[in-house]
Amino acid sequence: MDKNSVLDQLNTLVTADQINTNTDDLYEASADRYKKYAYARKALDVPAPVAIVYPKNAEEVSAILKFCNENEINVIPRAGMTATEGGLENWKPVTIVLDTKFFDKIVKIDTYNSQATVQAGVPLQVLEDELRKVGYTTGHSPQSKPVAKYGGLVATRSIGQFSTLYGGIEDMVVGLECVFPNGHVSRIKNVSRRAGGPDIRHIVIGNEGTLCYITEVTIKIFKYYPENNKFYGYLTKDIETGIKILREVMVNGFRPSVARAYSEEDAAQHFYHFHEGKCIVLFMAEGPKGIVEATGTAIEEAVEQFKDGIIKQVDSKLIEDWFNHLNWSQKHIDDEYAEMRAKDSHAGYTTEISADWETIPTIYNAVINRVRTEFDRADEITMLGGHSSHSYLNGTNMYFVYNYTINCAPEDELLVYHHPIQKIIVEETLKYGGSMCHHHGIGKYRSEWTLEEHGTAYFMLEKLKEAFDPKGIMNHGTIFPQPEEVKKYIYQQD
Amino acid sequence: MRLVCVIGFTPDKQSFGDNHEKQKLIWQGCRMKLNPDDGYALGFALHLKKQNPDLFIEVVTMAPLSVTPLVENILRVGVDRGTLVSDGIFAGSDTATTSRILGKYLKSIDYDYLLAGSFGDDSKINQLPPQVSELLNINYISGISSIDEDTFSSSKILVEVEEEKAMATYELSAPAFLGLTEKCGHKLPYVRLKDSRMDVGHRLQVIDNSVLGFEEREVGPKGSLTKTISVQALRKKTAQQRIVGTDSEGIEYVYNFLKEKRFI
Ligand SMILES: Cc1cc2nc3c(=O)[nH]c(=O)nc-3n(C[C@H](O)[C@H](O)[C@H](O)COP(=O)(O)OP(=O)(O)OC[C@H]3O[C@@H](n4cnc5c(N)ncnc54)[C@H](O)[C@@H]3O)c2cc1C
Repeated sequence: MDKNSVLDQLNTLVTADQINTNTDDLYEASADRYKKYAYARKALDVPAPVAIVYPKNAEEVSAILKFCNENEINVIPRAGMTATEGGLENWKPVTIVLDTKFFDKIVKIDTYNSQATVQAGVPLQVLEDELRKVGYTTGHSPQSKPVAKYGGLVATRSIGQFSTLYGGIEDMVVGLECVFPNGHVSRIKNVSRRAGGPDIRHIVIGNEGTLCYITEVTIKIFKYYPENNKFYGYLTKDIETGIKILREVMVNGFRPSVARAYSEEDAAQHFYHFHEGKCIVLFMAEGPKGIVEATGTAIEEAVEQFKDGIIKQVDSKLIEDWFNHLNWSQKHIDDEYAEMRAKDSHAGYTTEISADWETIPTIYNAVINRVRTEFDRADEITMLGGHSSHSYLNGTNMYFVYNYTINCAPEDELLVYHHPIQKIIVEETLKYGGSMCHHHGIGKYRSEWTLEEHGTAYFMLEKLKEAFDPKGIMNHGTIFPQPEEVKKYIYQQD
Repeated sequence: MRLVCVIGFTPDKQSFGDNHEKQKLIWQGCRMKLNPDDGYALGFALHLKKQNPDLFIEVVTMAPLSVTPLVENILRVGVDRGTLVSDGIFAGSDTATTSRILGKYLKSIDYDYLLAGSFGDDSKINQLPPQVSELLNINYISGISSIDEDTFSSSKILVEVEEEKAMATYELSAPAFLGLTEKCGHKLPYVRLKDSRMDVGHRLQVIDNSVLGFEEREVGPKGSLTKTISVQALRKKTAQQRIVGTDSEGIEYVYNFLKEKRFI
C-alpha cells in the first residue's frame, strides 16, 4: 500500500487531529538515541515513517493494528522516546508510529492494595509525584524517569536506580492490558500471585513493541520513608573491591535501595569533587527505620571485611547530593542535542550487561583490554570505564560508559566509534556467559546477537513472534534479527 | 563558475615535537594538517556547490608529496580537481617565493574567484593571498565573515568583513581573491566512510618544476630572502594540579585562587 492510501485509510479510523505528518516530527520519529548524533546533525539515513498516529483507547489501537496487519504495514509503538538501542528506529519505507500521547490518565491509585493503574502514556514522574502526595512511591527510578512513560518502561524491561530494594519493572507489574496485531485486546488481571500456567505477563514485559501494544499497566506501589534514608560512600583501590563489597551485602540477605561500584574513570566523571582518582563504592539504605539501620550495619560490616581495599570513607552528604541530581530531564536531553549541533561531541554512550559475581570482573577487564588494544580509534577515546549499579543474589550488572572525540562524518559516527565498542562489549559478555543487555533491551542495534544471547531458547522467542505477529508488522528489525537491514543500516553495505 | 581554493598544510604540532631537538623543520617527517581557516574556505566552496552542482572547485597547494593522501581526502568530499605543486627544489621556499611559484601556476588557469583562509595556523595573518593577488593583479579582501551567496550568480558579489568597530560590506567583481574566516561557518566535511577508498587519482595532478620552469636560484632557500634558522615547538605550560577537600581550608584555597585570577 502506498503512503497516500495509508493516510486515507487512517483517516477513516481516527480523526484528522490524531494523525501527524509534520516533516520535522516524522524526522524525529525515524530514529532514537542510538543515532542521536546523526539525528542532531540532520544526517539520519533511515526512512521517515508515513505518520505518527495518536489513538485514544484500546479500541482505536485495535482497529489500527488490524488495518496494518491486513496490509502488512510496519508499526512502531512509541511512548517517552528515550529508547537507546534503536527500538524506535524505522527500517521500513511504509511505517506508522503509534504514540501513547493520549493514554495519559492515572486510572487508580489504590494504597490499601498497594497498587496503581495507569495508561501507557503516563510519564513515570507524573505518577511518582502523585504517589508522594499520599506517602507512597513507585520505587521505579530509571535515570530517564522525568521523560519515560509506562508503555516504554514495561516494553523495555526497564530498571531503576533503587532496584536492589524494589526490583525491576518485571517485579512491579501486577497486570496489564495490551492489543495484538490481529486486533485482539488482552487484559491480564491484577492479583497478588497466580499459578495458572506460565506467567503470561512476561510475554508482554520486554516485548519492545514487537508482539503487542501496551495500553494500560497496574504496578505495585510502596510506602515511602525518605526521612530514614542513609547514604554511604567509600573510595576503593579497585573496582573488584567495590564489587566484592556489593556481593557481601547482597548474599548476607540485605537490600540497600542503591548499591554501586565505580571504576576510576567513571568515578572521575560522576564524582569530580571527591573521587581523588580512585574507584568508588556507594550505598543508599531506604525503608522503615529498623530495616535501614540493619542494612547500614551490614554495609559497614562488609566494608570492614574488605578494609584492605578501602582508601577512605566519603562524606555521606556528598553521596546524597549527587543522587538528587542524577536524573535526566527533557532539558538535559535537549541541551545535549544543542551541544551536538554546535560541536563535534556528545555526552557519550553506555552499554549495560549482566553476569554472575564471579564473571563480572572478568568481563570488565576483558572488555577494557580489547577496546584499548583492538579498537582502531582507541587514541580518540576520552573516557572508558564502567560501574555496577544493580545487584542481585547471584550477580550484578556492568554499565560500560564511553566517550570519544568525533573525527568523522555524523552519518558514520556509529559505525566508526559507537558500534565497534558496543560489539566488543557484547562479544566478551556472551563469550563469558553473561547477558548482553541488562536493561535497555535489544532494540535493533543488538539484534545481530539475539540468537547467541538466547541459544537454544531462541526457539521459544521465535515461536512467540510467529504466534502473535505472524506477518511481522510489529517493530520490524527490533529484537528479531533482519540480516538485510542490519547490513544496510548498521554496516552501510547496500 | 570556477572557484580555486589555495590551501596550505602545516605540521601537526603533536608530531612536530619529534623534530625540535635538531631545531630544524623537517617537513617530510611531520604529520601534516590542513590550515584550519583554509578548511573553512573549502567548506564554503563545497556548500555553494551543493546548491549549484555545476560549480567547479579546484584546490591548489604547494607542499611535499607526502600530503597526497590529505589532498585525496579533499577530493573525496566533492572537490573536482586537486593540484599539488611539488618539487624538491621548491622545498625551503619562503612565503614570497611560494606565492611566485603558485602565482605562475594560477596564471595558467581559468577561475572566477580564488579562496583561502584569512589566517594561518596559530591565528597569524595568511600572507600568501595578498602576495599572490599582487602577482596576479587582482583584488584581495581578507577577514570575510560572510558572503551573500545569492550574489555569486551575478557579476558582482557582496562580502561582509568584520572590522574593529563595525561590519563593512564590500562589493567586488571577478576575478578576485577572497580571504575567509571561520565565521563563514561552513566546516570542511569529513570523508564518508563509504568513500574512504574512492579512487580519485585521475582528479589529482602534480605540477613540478618541469612544468613551471623556474631556475634553481629563483626558488627554495636560494630564491628566498627569509630563511628559517631554527624551529622550536612551543612547550605547553601545564598548570600544577592541586586537589583540595570540601572543608574550610579547601574552600578558602579555591576562593583565593578565583580571586587571584580575578574571577571574583
Ligand atoms: C538519559 C537516559 C537515561 C536512561 N536511564 C535508564 C535507566 O536508568 N534504566 C533503564 O532501564 N533505562 C534507562 N534508559 C533507557 C530508556 O529510558 C528506557 O528504555 C525506557 O524504559 C524507555 O521508555 P520510553 O517511554 O521512553 O519508551 P520509548 O523510547 O518510546 O520506547 C522504547 C521501546 O518500547 C516500545 N514501546 C513504547 N511504547 C510501547 C507500548 N505502548 N507498547 C509496546 N511497546 C512500546 C518502543 O517500540 C521501543 O521499542 C535511559 C535513557 C536515557 C535517554
